[in-house]
Amino acid sequence: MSFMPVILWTDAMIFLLFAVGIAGIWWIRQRPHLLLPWQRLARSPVGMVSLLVLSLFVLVGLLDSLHYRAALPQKNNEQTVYSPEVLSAFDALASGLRSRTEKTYSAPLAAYLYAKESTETGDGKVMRDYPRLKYGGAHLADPQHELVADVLQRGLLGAVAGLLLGGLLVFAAGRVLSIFIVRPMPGEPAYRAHRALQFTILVMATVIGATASLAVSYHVLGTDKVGQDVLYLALKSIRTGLVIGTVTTLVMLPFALLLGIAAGYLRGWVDDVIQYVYTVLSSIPSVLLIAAAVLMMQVAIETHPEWFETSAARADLRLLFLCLILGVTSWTGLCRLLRGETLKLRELEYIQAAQAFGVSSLRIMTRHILPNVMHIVLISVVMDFSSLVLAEAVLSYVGVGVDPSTMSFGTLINAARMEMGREPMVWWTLAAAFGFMLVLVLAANLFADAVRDAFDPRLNRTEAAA
Amino acid sequence: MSALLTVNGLVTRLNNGPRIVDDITFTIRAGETFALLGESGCGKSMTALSLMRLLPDGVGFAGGSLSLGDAQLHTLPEHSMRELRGGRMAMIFQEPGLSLNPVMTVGEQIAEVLALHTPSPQPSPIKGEGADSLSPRGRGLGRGWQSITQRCIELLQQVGIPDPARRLDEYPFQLSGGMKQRVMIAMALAGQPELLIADEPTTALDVTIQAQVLQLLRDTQAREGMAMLLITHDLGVVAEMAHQVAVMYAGQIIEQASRAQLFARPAHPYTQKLFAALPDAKRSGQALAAIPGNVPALGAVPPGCRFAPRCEQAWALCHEQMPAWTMLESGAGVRCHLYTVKAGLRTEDSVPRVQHSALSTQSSALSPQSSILQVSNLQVHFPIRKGILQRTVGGVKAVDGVSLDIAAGRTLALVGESGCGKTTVGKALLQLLAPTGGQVRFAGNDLVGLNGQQLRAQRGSMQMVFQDPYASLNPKMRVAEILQEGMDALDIGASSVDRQKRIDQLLDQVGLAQAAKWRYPHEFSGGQRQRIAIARALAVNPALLICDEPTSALDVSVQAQILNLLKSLQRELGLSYLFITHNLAVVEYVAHEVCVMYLGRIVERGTVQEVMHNAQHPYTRALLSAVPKIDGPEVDGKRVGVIRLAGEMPSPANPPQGCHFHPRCAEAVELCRTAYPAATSNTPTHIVHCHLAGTR
Repeated sequence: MSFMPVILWTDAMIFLLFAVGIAGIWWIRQRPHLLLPWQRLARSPVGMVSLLVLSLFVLVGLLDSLHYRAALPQKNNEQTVYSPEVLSAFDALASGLRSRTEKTYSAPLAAYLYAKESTETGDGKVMRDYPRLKYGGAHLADPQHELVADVLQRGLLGAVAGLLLGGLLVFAAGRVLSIFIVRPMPGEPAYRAHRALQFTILVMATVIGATASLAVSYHVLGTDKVGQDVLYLALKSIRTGLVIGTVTTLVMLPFALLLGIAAGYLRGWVDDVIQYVYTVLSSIPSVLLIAAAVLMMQVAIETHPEWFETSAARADLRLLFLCLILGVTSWTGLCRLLRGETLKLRELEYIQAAQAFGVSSLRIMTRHILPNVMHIVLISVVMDFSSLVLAEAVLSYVGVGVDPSTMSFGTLINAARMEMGREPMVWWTLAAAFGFMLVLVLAANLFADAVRDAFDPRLNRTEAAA
Repeated sequence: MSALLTVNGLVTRLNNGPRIVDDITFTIRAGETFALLGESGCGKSMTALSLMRLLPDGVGFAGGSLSLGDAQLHTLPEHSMRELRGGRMAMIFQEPGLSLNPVMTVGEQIAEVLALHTPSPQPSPIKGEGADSLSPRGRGLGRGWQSITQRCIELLQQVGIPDPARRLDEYPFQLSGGMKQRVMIAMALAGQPELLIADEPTTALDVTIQAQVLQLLRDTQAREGMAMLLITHDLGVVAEMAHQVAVMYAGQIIEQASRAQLFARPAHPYTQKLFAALPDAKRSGQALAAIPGNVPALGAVPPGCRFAPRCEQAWALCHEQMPAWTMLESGAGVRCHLYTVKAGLRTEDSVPRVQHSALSTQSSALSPQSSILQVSNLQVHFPIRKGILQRTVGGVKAVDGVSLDIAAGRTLALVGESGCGKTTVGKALLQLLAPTGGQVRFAGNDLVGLNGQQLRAQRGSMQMVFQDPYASLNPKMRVAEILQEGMDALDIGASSVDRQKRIDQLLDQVGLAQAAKWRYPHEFSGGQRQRIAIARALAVNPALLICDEPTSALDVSVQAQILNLLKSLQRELGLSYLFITHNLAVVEYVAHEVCVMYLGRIVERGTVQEVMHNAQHPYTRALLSAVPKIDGPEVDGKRVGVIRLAGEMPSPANPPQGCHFHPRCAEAVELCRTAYPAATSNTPTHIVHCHLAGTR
């Protein structure tokens, strides 16, 4: 075999989550009354468009989670030797982006470096000038004059190709849809969502086409200090962002749900203890707490190098621990919200009716209270998602964030700290991180909003009555 | 007298969609009370808000003309409208607790209105000192501020608030509900309005307080000569207050007449039905004439007469064509085809002639059987804790020694004002609250102090129906799941097939279609939700249902449906009811026995006959007389023989010495102030706690 699959801890969690998601979809498909709100969601243009954008991010994240180690050409006693470098399927796809590193900073779509260098000309004179890039625009003879035209031409060609592919995709998808389910006709509520989806696919295919076409011979988002392509870094950061957002939430949710609802419903000493715990926890400066935990873990990792086969495994464990620690410290806000809401709900008459039936407390909490606080959970989880990504940036700044070898929005933003103070300013790293995070978090927010609306029975009165 | 307010063809619509208020025309003369009567959702509050031009977002004025004296309300610019609001016309709202600003003192709130609307020496109070003295505290003791304070005290005196100078500096939370409504009235009067709009002014208040507030409104009107637009759903309030009455249904006025005409001879079938749906003792053996169905939803109004789908006298024309406004010979107006065809001819025989589907009258004459629930000396005290160590420094004696007896198949009504502890009794019986003391024996088993397991075995036989059908059903569960929950918890029904069958049967029993099973509660109206709540309780085969104000959140016509349902269920299943209510008319209709509660104790108990018609305790008599009646004895428009209670119920944390009722009792003697009266029995069933019971 020319490669050996590697499953890192976070990969396992991501695929577990993915499998649970698929199983959930299959389970819901069997039950028409659970399917109903999702069908309602399918009719919401905003929901579907944001879902499409989100799934592109997730796709990149998933591809980036299929890790492997390539086989090296030489063999050791008939045994295949694998490279110590762990790559992912995404790396293989974007190998061009990964390998074409320049010397240092270069602006987006530039053909010259961003810093002057002394070069020796043929006649022995030393000149200080902006040298040509090794890869960016290397095919141009005279970038000063040809660059704009070339960029426009390549961009346009890529856009047209993307548009055509997108069109094909829309057409094919339409065909497939019309075989399996009825295609929505004009006037139906689903038609608008359908149209919006088609439009978004075309727009995104165009953008991706243009970017891909340009990325072959340019650095679309420039390069960073050590000459790595920023587009590649930003795309790699998606996985880290998703891991921090989702795994932290997974860690945090059980605490928040269980403790919040239990405190609100059971009252008495349970409430006192839980309140005491979260009040104390939230009064500890969280950065200090996290820094202490991360540093301790770091020491443990460094004293036991034999635990890890590769550096990627080590970086991954650090990421996982960061998620765990963030999760353990960030449940207090949601817990407090849920306790308050539960205090309100427990006085409602349907809870008392259940108590009069002798329904057990656990069942009341899961059947009556949990579904009625889910909207709060959903919204605050999505809101937290963006603040978690930012928290990671802050921690990287302090030096206790992800491993330096892990690319993340946090490390990108952290790098921008120096770059913004530089003259002339390097703006593209921050802009790239900003743009990607904005789109990701906005899509997540809009999607959560659409989900909440689809699940709110009060907003869907008329349709249900019909 | 000339017309003060003229409303002509008022239309208010929702986002240019359905009409909430549809072509309403009426006039109010100075000094007159005009009542708008209707069920919830018929557009009566929207009419009032249209007059004030305070419509909520998404609802807009869409036609018609409104004139107050010489001012054309619908064309006035907003700034002159602002001078009118609180000035020439003022409004008081239903919930006094929500219409006062909790962070301003009473004095500041009244002063705010005064500063805006006092016809002061300054030519324009808005631009002059008036605008500045909006924050009188900041202004110090200017001349204007002093006169404003003086006027505030006068106003509070006018509305009967004792010690007004002190109250001025108090915050709304320091006042009781009745007091707050008085302050609201004082604020409304501050601008010396020509027209006072009162939107359900007493709905949130207890009967004795309601009587006080209605009396105050009447007195004020007599003194100031202002006109009043009274919005209410309560026929009793209309009977006490109104000169002219308009009945609204689904956005239209369907009948308008003077009070005397309306009560003597209601013309429209809907009005007739409303009267027939009122429960009282005379009908206790019969089913109430409930109006089937519900008020049509906005946007789904039928093309013809809006009442036609629910009307027994409707014929083809009613479903096709909207009836025109018809003036009757008597001067009353009605919107009904019965009168357009043979105008006026049918008035004679359209006197309410409701066929009471006779229930077997034998049911109420059941001989008293063995008692199913015995409660003796039940106490529920909530401790008051203070300090960091949470030491108990006192207790709220919410229920303080209540004893009850309910026989199988009978109904016991527990009557009292809000805060008297009647709901707490219900919850303590179900062991939802742990009683502090006393005994609850149900079918021979003592319930107090049982552990969870033992209690669960008893749960099925005693169930509760709650007051608010909107809060008592989990919005995220479907009807079938709601009904099944109790069966699951108590292991009723052998298999899920059995349970589904039982659910179908239950839905039949409470008069809902079986298709309702798979719907969520929000798809049902209030009455239907209450039916679901009843079905949920019945699912576990209870012998006793505790009904906690089951109809107080419902409209009169729907209330009748639910009362009929409860009665027929009692007849079919032999259920016993503990009926907790403040509505005495309902008591007379449903109950066999009555207990009257005051401040955590039962002050009088006996059969319906004994308590309602031969009340011995002064509190019971005051309660009974405070209920606005549609056919009470009248002299010069005022009812006679009404006992008006002074003050309000004291706090149960600090009950008065001696008889709890003595501070409000007109007949109290020295003994009442020192000792709580022991039980005096007139007849074996009639027990009164009053020192004077024997002496009358």
